[in-house]
Amino acid sequence: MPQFSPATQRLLRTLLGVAVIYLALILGQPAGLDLVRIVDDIRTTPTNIVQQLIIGLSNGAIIVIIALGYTLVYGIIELVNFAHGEVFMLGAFTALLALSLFTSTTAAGGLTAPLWAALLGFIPAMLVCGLLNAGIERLAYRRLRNSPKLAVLISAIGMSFILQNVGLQLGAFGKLTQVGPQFEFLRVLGSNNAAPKSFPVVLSTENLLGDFIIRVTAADLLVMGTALVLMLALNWFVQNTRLGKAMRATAQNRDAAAMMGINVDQIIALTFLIGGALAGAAGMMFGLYNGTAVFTMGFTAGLRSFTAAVLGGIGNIRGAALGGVLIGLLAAFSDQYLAVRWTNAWVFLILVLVLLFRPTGLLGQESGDKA
Amino acid sequence: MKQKLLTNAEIIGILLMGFVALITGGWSVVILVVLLGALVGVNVPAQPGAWRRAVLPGLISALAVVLVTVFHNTVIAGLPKQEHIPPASTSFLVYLGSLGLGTAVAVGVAALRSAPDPRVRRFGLLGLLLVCAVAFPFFEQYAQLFWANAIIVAMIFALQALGLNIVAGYAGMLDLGYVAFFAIGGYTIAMLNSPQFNLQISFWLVIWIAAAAAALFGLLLGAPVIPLRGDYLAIVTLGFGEIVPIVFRNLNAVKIAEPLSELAALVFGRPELALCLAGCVEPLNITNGTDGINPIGRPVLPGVAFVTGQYIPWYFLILTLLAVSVFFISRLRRSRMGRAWVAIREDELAANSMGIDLVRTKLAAFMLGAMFSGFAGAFYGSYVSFVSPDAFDFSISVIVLCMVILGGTGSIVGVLLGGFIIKVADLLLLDKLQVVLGGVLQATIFQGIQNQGMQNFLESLFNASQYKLLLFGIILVTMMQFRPQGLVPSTTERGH
Repeated sequence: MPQFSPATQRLLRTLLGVAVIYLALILGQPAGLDLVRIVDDIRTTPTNIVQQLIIGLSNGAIIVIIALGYTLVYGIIELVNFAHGEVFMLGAFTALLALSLFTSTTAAGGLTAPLWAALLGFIPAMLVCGLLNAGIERLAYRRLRNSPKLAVLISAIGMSFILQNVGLQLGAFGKLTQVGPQFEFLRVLGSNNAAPKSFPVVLSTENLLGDFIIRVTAADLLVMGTALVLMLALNWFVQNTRLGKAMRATAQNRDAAAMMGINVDQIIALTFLIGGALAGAAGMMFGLYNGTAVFTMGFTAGLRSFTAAVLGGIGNIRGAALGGVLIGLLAAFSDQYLAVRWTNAWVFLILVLVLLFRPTGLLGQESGDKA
Repeated sequence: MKQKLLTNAEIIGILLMGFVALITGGWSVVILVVLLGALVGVNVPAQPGAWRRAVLPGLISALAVVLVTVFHNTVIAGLPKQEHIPPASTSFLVYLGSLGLGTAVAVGVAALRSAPDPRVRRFGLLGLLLVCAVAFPFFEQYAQLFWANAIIVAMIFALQALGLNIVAGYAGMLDLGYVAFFAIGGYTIAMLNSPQFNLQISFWLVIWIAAAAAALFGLLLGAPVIPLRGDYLAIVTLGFGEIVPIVFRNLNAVKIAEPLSELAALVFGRPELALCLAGCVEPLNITNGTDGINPIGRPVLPGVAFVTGQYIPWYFLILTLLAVSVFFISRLRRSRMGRAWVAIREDELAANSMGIDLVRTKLAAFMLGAMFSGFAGAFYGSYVSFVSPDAFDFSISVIVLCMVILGGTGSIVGVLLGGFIIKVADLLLLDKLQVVLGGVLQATIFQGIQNQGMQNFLESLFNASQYKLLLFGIILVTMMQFRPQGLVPSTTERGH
């Protein structure tokens, strides 16, 4: 390449940037990148921005909690735990089953459950998913600790398929309601294995701001509050406890940590346990917020959360929080201003671009070997 | 040292074929004994007089399969809700003939493999394979097995697996979005040979265009991801694999305006300033959205009718494609390029310092891998006569990856074998298993359970066709734990 003066180089780079933006504006139009419509939308109903901000923050809160699981595991054994999204999905199913025990039918024929049951339901969901995730590590990853990375990744993909099938077959238990009244609580599973399951209504959907044009519901507050509590708790645990210190040491250098007397296997299992418990909590949050769960949802949610973790800098807990919020907002604004059916494509595009241009993410440190 | 009666491979083969015989029965015994005989023959050490050592294991394994078939035909076929077994297949002569055929194949393969003349070895085995491959569809039609569709789809997937094997097996790059190229191949033929745009370009030309389009996208998608390594590469390709079907799903109402003029129109409040580039009168429908495109044109060949339900022409077409691909890829593997791929896989730094151009070599692998998937996609589109975005989801990428890993990463024979095992199990055996399991449940447990709800529940829980994902998952996990090199490891890796 010929040498240009710095000023010319800057000019060329600017021209290239303009050309790329121009091309994106043309090619992006079928995918909803339509300037006129976007400007029009903002001019006519500017409150949409605030509304999507709230929706994005709530969705982002759930994504953050899932992304933390990815980031913890990647930080410690450099594995993209592909099965994590499915653990989240099973967390939602566990939450649904826990809620089903306290479900009653309303006058209108819908299903409802009290709030204390939902809050209590976090415990089984987190417990089951934590143990499940630790079990997956023991069964599918531990033996491969010293194998090539790809072998572990493929094992993780296999695990995610197994879990997805478990989620599918859980639906079969809905048929037990025909057997007798003792199985009546399983009606939440419906009669079709693969169909989405509806959560009983726990929180009222009325607008907390009264008749104001912007809606804030109790679910928004609950999801954001829970996410905040979980994040603070995790941060405290990792920064202030002995086990947290051991986790950080293992993440930094596994061999050195082992030499200092840290039981590395135990710490890795603990990391999976915590990540799984968070996924379980996210499952409950998802169910309360969206009111539905389906056995295929782990894949998309997992990919979005993984994108969030990478965006923030994988292996970095604060990065996962930042990335999760950003992805939640991006998805919400894409739903409003671009096109709902293209949102997944935009999120994946962001993932690809981040990995290509800044594989260490927004808050990650430079490290030569990870990408 | 005392000779063992049966080797481990033979025992596994007998168990596998016996299981298939248990749930299929009828005429399938003929095919199963031939397959098992071939396995036994290949398994005997190739040395002079090997055929004598193949007689006994050949006889035992054929006998096992025949006995299981007799069990199916007499006991299982009598259970409720079972498929019909042709009466001609249950005669004593068929059993005796299968026994002889299985033993003969075992002895014949062993004898050919240990023949002193290398040309006899090579062409004899190829000839035998050819005879079996040619005889299969006619026998299948006569015996009314209804296996042809599964075998054709299995070959389509085997073609894809061969392509992925170039990327993942030879060059060592894990591509989790391989379905993108399959989709591109399928949609290329769907747009060029269907009523969608009223184009009727001949199949024989379109299949090359489809392969070229897939290769082009392989280049476009591959170029930016080449610098990435390991799991990051896997995730980025997965992202592409997700984006491509979304694009096909959503390109059904395209309208594009020139952005600058549009902006000007907005600022000055004069809509007539906006220039329209495409889809001005009414939005362009390129891919017909979720409804997909159909009917897609069929190949035209004088004297041969390619229609739905007539499987033999399709069978020979895909067989030819597969055979040509195997020939091409095996030559490619031994070429300078093929050796460079393996060198990169084993040690990128060392390969680079030996003067291998990393970017060009990896891109070539990406393009060639995509090309085979494009071929497969075009054939698939024409064979099914219908493409829709739902047919190209992530599970296809994983199934093809399963095939490569199960068979043996980097080994052509292994990948073909893996492809057949997985797709035949997926399309054929799980359904048959479901029928048999249903019958067994009906005849045993259900006798004691009067509650209809409980019966419905058990039937739905033991619905074997819903356990596909579980099957793939178990294959991936167990292979990684216990035999990461696959069933038939490639020769270059056997030494390790």
